[in-house]
Amino acid sequence: MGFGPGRSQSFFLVLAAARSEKLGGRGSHVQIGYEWQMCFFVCLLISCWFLGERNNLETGRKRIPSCSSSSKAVLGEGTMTYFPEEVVEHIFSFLPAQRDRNTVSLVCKVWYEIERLSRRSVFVGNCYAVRAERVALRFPNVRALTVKGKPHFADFNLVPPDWGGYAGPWIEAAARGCVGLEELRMKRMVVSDESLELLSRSFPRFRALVLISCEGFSTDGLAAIASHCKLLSELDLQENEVEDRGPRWLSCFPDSCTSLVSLNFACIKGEVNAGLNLSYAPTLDASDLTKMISRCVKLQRLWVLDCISDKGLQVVASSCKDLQELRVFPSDFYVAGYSAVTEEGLVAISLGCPKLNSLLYFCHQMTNAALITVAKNCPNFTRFRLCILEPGKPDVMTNQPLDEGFGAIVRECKGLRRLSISGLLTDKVFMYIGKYAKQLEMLSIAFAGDSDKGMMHVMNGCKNLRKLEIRDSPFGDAALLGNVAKYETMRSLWMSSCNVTLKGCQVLASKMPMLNIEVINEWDGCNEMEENHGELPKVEKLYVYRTTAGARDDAPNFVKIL
Amino acid sequence: MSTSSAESSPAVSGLDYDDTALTLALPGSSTDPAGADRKRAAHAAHDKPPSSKARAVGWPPVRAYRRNALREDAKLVKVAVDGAPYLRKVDLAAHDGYADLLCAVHGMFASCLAIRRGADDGTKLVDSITDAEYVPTYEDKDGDWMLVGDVPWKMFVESCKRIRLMKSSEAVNLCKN
Repeated sequence: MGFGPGRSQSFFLVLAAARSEKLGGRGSHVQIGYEWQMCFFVCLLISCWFLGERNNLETGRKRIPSCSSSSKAVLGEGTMTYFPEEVVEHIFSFLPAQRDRNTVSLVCKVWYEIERLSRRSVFVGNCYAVRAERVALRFPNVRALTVKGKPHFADFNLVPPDWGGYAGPWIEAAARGCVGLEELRMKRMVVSDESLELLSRSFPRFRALVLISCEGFSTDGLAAIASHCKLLSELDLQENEVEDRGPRWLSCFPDSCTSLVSLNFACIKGEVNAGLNLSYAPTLDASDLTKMISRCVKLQRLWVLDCISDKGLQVVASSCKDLQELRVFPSDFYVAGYSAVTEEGLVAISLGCPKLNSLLYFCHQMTNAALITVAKNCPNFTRFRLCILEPGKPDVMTNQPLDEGFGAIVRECKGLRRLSISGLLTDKVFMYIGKYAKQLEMLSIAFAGDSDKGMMHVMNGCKNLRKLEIRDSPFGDAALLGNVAKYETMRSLWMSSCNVTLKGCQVLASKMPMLNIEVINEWDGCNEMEENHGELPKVEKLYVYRTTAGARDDAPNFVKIL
Repeated sequence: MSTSSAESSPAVSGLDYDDTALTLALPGSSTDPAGADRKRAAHAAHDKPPSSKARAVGWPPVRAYRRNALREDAKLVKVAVDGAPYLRKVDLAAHDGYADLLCAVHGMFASCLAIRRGADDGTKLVDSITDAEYVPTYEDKDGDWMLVGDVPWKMFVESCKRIRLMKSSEAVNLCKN
């Protein structure tokens, strides 16, 4: 068919111009109807596919085909560059999504160069998937950097302290190579005061720092930020372990500081119209609470404690018709404790809030019937996380597993990207998930399943799966090794308290050299191996992730990288 | 990181279970070993008396920050280990007794500490490299440094202001009430 880089370039440029027109973009001269846009879009996909598969910043393994001419701006016969660099760069600016920009940088070397020098925003989902220096070298003009460190289950104390996720190398690499940095977002990383000090002194245009679920720093580090970041407009600290050395840091903001727009620490505050976070207020009287909420008719996001009760959720359902995100947290963590919310509250919400797309719901009981109803009422869920507090609890009415309920959720909610399941669940629920959850990117499993088949349904069926985290479920080596190529398409796998053995992990390591297989054993391994009398020792915690960086050199002694 | 027991099988991540305990079986459920582990984990919760605080590590999945914020009777004290480069905080109110606390402290300093069983069947914390024993001490309301374990648990929780794991060579001069 002869799709060379030149043709794909021209198709692409016309498409980008057309899309910008469709988006009401700025100053494009091309007027193209919708049908032509689709035609060009299809041609673009074909040409990009022909040239190379999806590149991803995290793997960065693809070779870039070179253009027949290396000159960048010369127009002449045989060259691919029909447009000057500035025009190409301008067109790229209509592609904010990192995935699109990664794809575009695969077309040819010239485009790779243009794209990387004009990239303003970089997202690194796993700090160990790629070396910090490499990112800084490739994107010297980055303005906004996001880096994530520890696996998600670290939030629940399943990852020992000192496991890793250090922010230091990232801040140092950026300080050397990306001095235009303006925004830094970090999640689940260990940030030291020294790093915050370096950050505060290295980036003259720095204006936004967001730290979520991080640790390792004190208010002294914050004092450095306050003192030296003259243009700081956003300081957002959510649920971090900060060593409090007193309120002195607050007075470090200079008197002339007029730039600070958003200051958020201790808990999340938002405008009452957009979002309301009452999840740290257990003493709020239930009737006062519902009176207040009934007036917030434009509410889009609501975080509450379960003290709100089913009745309160009914008030929410009848008042907050614009609600998109709901989180109901437990006020009592004991498994046998009392919770005022049940499946009825959830059903009420699903009836009253048709725009609901994101849910986190802690409760003590659930039924299949309720979940089936919720699925029918709210097919727009993109994030659905249900946590029944008692592990392995069945349908409270029928005593059956909750396979059918969750099955309905994945069947009806075709756009579901994130799912957390709980309660009594057999392999059947995984069969449903593998069959229907085609957009699923993240799946969290706890105390579920009967056999290796369960995990294999997910590994084979969920085409878009990026993160899989499992705890206390009977999946072993057969499941781990059932589809090894899949791990290359995923960011990471976490398995703790499952049936995986060291042997299985070693086999995986030998088959897939581009993965890091981290075996985490906190306890002294010697005692357990003696007691087992030759039985293969089970791996307590396993963390598998793809990487271009090889085995990391900052691993503590209780982490073995195979 | 807190764990409920050092002796429990790692396969059920800290949940205590007794092989001889009666467990409820679901109607029509099979008795295959693959399901047994899961059922044990699932039904262990039934076997626990309602007043017990025993629960799986990291369950329910709520961030530590949120847990601490909601706990009105939280008793957070700093824990320092001689030779470790950082401090940690532990919530005394979240633990049942000294054994539970010892496990939690071990979990927090997993890279420096190991647990060993003593001759008297008690467990103690030792340096993971040199095997040197650590002596857990605490500072009480009066500012005196005492050995952990001498007073009843509740009294300890009441009066403890912070904890320090001393190298045993340094602890010889400690007064013992």
